[in-house]
Amino acid sequence: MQRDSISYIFTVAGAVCAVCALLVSAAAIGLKPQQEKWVQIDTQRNILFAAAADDEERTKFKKMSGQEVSDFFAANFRNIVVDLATGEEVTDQYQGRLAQYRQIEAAELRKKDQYTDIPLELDYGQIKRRENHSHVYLRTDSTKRYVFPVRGKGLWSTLKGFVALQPDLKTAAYLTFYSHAETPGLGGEVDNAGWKARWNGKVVLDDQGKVVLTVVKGDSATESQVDGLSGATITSKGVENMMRYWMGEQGFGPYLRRIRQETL
Amino acid sequence: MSSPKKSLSKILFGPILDNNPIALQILGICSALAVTTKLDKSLTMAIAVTLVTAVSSAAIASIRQWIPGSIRIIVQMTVIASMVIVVDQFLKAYLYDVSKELSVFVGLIITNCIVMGRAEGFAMSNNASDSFWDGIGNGLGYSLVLMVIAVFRELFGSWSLFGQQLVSDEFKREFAQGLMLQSPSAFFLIGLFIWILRTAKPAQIEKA
Amino acid sequence: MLDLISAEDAFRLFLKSAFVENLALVFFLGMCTFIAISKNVKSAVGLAIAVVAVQAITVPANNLIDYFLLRPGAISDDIDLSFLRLISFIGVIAAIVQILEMVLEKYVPALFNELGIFLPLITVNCAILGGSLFMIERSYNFVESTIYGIGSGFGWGLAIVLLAAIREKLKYSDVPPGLRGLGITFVTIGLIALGFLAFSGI
Repeated sequence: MQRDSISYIFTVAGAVCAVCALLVSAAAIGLKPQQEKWVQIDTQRNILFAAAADDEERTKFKKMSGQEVSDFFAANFRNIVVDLATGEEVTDQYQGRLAQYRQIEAAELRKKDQYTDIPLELDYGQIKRRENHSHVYLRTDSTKRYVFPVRGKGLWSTLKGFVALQPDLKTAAYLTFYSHAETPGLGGEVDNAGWKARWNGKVVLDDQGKVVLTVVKGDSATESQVDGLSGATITSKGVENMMRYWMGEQGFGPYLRRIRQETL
Repeated sequence: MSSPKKSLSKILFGPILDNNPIALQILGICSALAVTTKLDKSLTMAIAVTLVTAVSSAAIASIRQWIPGSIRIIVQMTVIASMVIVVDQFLKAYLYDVSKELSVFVGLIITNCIVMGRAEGFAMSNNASDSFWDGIGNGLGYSLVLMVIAVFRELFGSWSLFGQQLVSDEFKREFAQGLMLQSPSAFFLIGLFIWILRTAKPAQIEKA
Repeated sequence: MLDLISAEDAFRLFLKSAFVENLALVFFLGMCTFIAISKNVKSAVGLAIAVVAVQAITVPANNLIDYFLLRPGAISDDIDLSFLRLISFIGVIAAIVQILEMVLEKYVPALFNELGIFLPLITVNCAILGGSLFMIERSYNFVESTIYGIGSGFGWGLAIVLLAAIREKLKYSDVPPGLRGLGITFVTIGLIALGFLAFSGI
């Protein structure tokens, strides 16, 4: 075959593509289970962080290996799925593929029948769409915690994280963010351990289940106020609005009400 | 190639100081600077780039006589991109935390001029094993600059090395140079590195 | 897919991509071309325009490719082609640059003569591929990626024009021999980057 003939060029191009495609696909498929394991461990570690009893335990979680994290999670946590509109548990629908249910994707990628558009006036967190079903993680050993996935818009980016509530389901225990792109040193301090520690014991909901928590400038006077981040008004407001949305009627409100009534 | 041993060491060690791809040829700095805030990030990146350069150079060199001139660049690109994807997948599977921090920069090895430069400049006219060692050598030259800068930035920026804090918390709060973790410090450091290298090896000084 | 965003958000995204997260000065992207083509202002301006144009087309184009083909669940629920992102994006970029070159040559030869030599350089410019990868990492939608493409291209272009202007003047200064050329250029970029750091406070 002539070296510069079109058929020769096509043959070489085809051969190169075939070999590369084989290599790339083999690597991608072969390594996929291992990659998913890590993604799952990463999520579990974040949940562990949110649900930790104190900073000491948080340090312990930080040092745990991946295997230890997933063992601890399996032993001490219960992962359920709730229907946000009714507050009912629908875990049974997800038998065997609980870990594969990615709720944020369901909303952001508009999976059929899995999301609801949020009316503009109720969209405090500015997220536009909400998934119909959400994970809730219950820590069941001596430290009882409810951990809820939340997200909301800050200044530059959508903050994604977990909020942990105390067993009374009214008081905050901790909140943690695993993904945000706020200004380092200002809004980026949402991820600062010192700031997050201020959330412990703050009253999020009153007895009627109304969200009362606010993030204020300067000193927090009451137990339902959290000091805002200095120099990051919009990010602080974003965190407040995120809590208002997810702890309210549009978010986990119905579920929280149901559990509170059941435990009374 | 009268004495292959000498030429191998020249291929391997030449690019580290005499002909450093970053300092002399301004190649591959795109990714070199962004990952230097932490040593473990830079080390992973350095190994990834060295591997990709070596293996893709060897692969291209071994098929070079069959590659038609007209689609030469795109064939090189395909080989390199495939290698990068494989490396990226391995990192995600076995070094998840580091790969998360490296974010898009692993992918950007594709457009790293060192890889492409060695493929076009060396591998197209040499045999596979020489090209492999040439890739390793250039990768090491890249790694050297990367590690030197990372040592400075991590040490003075957060007083730690490989994530291990070396001083007490009070000392760190008092003396940590936040600027070292920001982008300008990387530019200054690489400027200084080039200055020192060229003062030591005056042959590399540019004409005014 | 077509989520419209408010004018305020759009403006904020533009500011952020052009200044706060400047691709060249904060993420060190496209440095090879950045240093090679910044010796005089005229060619820097040409390259800057070409980068804005290519970035504004490729980022949204890659967004569409990702949305309809590559993202997990795009074709069917069990298919995840996201590992092909790298290779598809670089292919799309190379193809678009090639097409742009041909279109310009045919319809706007004057502009082609100005920008023509810069276009091939852009294919291997990490700022372009980086823009598309950041778009994925931050899950921008189509409208946002268009704004991000224009903004980040503009920021990169602005940085290279600034650097070129300084380097033109630098020719007349007395620089220590070892620092001459590359060394002093890096120090200059560092100083510009230091200035851009101030934007992170807005």
